[in-house]
Amino acid sequence: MVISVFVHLLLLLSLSSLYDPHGVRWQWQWVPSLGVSFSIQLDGLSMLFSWLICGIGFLVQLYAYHYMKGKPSSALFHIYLTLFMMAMLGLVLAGNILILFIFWELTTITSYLLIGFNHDQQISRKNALQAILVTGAGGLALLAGLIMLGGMAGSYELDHIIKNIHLIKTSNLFLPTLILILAGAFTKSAQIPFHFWLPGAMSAPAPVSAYLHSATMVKAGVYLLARLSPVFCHSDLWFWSLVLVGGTTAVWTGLLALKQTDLKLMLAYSTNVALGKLMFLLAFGSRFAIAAAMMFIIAHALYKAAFFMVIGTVDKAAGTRDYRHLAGLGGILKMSFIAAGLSALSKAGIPPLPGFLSKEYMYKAALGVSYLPTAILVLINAVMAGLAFIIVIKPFLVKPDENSVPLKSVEKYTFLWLPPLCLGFLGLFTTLFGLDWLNATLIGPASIAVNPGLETEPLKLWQGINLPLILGGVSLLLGLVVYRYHDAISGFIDQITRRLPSGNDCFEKVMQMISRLASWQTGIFQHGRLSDYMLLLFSILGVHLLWYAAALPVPRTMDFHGVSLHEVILAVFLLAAVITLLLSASRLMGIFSLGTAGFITTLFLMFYNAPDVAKTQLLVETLTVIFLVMVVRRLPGFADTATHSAVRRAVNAGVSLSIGVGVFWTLTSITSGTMDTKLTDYFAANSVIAAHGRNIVNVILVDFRAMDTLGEISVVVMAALGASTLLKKRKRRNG
Amino acid sequence: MRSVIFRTTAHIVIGIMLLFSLYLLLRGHNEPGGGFIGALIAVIAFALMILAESAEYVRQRIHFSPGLIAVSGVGISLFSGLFALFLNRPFLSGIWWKTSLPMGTPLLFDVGVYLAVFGAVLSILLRIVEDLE
Repeated sequence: MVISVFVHLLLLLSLSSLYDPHGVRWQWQWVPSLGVSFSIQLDGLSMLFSWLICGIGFLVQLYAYHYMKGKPSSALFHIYLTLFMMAMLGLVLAGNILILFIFWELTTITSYLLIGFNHDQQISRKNALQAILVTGAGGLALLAGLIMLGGMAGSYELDHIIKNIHLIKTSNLFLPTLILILAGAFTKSAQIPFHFWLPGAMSAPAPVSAYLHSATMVKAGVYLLARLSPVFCHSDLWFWSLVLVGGTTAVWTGLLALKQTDLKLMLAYSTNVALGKLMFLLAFGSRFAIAAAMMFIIAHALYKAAFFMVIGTVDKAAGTRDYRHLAGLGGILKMSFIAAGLSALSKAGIPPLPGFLSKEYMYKAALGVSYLPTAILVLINAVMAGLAFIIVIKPFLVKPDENSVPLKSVEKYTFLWLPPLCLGFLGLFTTLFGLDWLNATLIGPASIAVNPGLETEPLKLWQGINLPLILGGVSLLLGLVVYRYHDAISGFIDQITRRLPSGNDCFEKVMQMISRLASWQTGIFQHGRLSDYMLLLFSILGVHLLWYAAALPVPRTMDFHGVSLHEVILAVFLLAAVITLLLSASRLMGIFSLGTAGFITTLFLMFYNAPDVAKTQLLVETLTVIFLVMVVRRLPGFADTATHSAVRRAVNAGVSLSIGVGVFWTLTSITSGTMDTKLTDYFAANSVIAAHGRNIVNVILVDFRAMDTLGEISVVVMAALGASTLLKKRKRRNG
Repeated sequence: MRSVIFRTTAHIVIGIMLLFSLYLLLRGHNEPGGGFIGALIAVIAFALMILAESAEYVRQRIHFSPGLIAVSGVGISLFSGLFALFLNRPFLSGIWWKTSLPMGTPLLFDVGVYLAVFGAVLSILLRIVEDLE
């Protein structure tokens, strides 16, 4: 625990000392043959996120210390949190999109561990699985998008991609790439129609929500789009999809948030709203919009993390998070009340808190476009303000009545109230005293990273009485209205949404469809009839052989010169063996003739100077006969073979014939031309010199092509393990 | 009832076959032979032993489980490839000690192949025989 706390501080300090507002890069070779290098890029945008990740991570770890106290797995919890923090930090520092993707997936995996931390509860496991499936599917889309992006730009390095925008813009892969990357970002940042995983993930312990769903995991999508915004921001699709998806998400999830009774779920939906709003702002890309987005990322991280922690403490104190049963918390959780109050003021957008500042610039940006986005933003902010009031006033200030649950005093644990309080005051002091620093080191450089052509304007707290300020007041008043008529509104929303299918239901339906498809195709392809498997395999082989043989040049002439008598005799014997095999009605006879055919083939190999191959063939034939004898002598109906139907026999004959003809045609065609002996010559020349061996076959196996052999023996061992398990299982079933 | 003559001669033949399989393994780099062929001969020897005695007898005689032998074979082959990494050469490059004995990592690799094939095939054979008895 102590170590993980210090890791955060140490990383934060070292990053800050290396930081330079113009951006710094480090690069190490990683997979030079693929042109992938491990590069790290630290510019304004990365630094802004690093501050949030490390700073809030530090406070969350402190909070988790007392929150998880007494639980047996608390050490594991701190380790998971630290791992997640590392993954997230890697994501925002990556200077190469493939590195970025690796860390992206690592955040998905570690978040799965965190969301499902209470794995003794079924709902927790289910929601963690849902989160990893949704974000993992988005991750796959993102991978495809990033690879195409790298392909268009000719490099996976971020700075190189941004320099080569002209190559990307003119490529016909531009549109699919954009769609795939948007899919990745929308799933991660829980936009409609993937918004449902975020409220589902609320089954996680409070510190996880405070960390993942305020500052980090869900902001990864926003980060990605901000990072790639210079590449895509000129396209119409980018603008419209961000505006529509972000706007719809913000409005719809805002309405859903109002009908919740669980405070934590309310916060979760309001996180959806915030993410939608960020997408909305990114779409505009003007200097005010970007500045507002950056400021909002900071403000939201500060107040939402504090809120989640406070609600966690409330849960500890009251044993419930349902606001209908909560009252009078203000008297008992005094410190938490202050923290929640500051956060609510910031969320509602009351000066001089950071939320106010971001709202001010949001309106400025929207007014620069048209009235519709301004109206949408006013609506969203009114909902946000209303939610802030609901979360704080109802549980903390209202006097307890017969509905409310008895409360425990839990503030003797320092870290249950200190971290959210720190966040609250941090917000206050940053805007009051640290605004210049914030402008110069984080927001300005970050805005330039999002849109390089931008003139940045330092944020100012007081700009006189103007339209944005008035709009802020309007949304605040509307928020009060929302608060006043909350019961009526939530009842109304409940009426509407009850009839519509929820995202969760759709997810369940899709999952059911996938598993039904899987069992359907398993039933078709894995029926368990060995002879049908063999027929399928060999008919595919036969078709392929004929297909390729037909493309080969016709063998010129059959040259029978130099064929000696013993070869002819052997060939006759071979034919006889095969015909016996086909006609024999007894299994034992069949095995014998098959063995004979194999041994004659061995003799052929001996004649053609391939002693190693011949030996192997001989031994394999011997083993085959041993295996068959061992099996066959135990089988029932030993003397007679079960006969297939006439049709099936004809099909089998057809497949065998096509394979025979295909092999014959291919071989004669190849041997009648000149062979490319480059490889053979190389091995013959280098076998003794480079590998100290005279047996070329063996040298190829253990030296030149040792990697192949390693793969082959692994396959052999896997096959043996598989066969053993199958046989064991059969034995158990019989016994 | 197995004949006494078959059982007695089988044991003698098995000894010779096992010796021969090791011989093939060791000479494989220069003359026909090698790990794969050697292992198959060893398996055939043990198949003979199964026919002469019983599967249980063979299991007792080889002491280690065939699956374990197979997996350790792959492990040895993998390990032999790691030597090259220490000398900053690609994985699985042959490293030789020609000065004292004609030995090198390819031989170690071949021993791994021998054990992997031997263990894998023998484990299937034993399992089938035991399953049917």
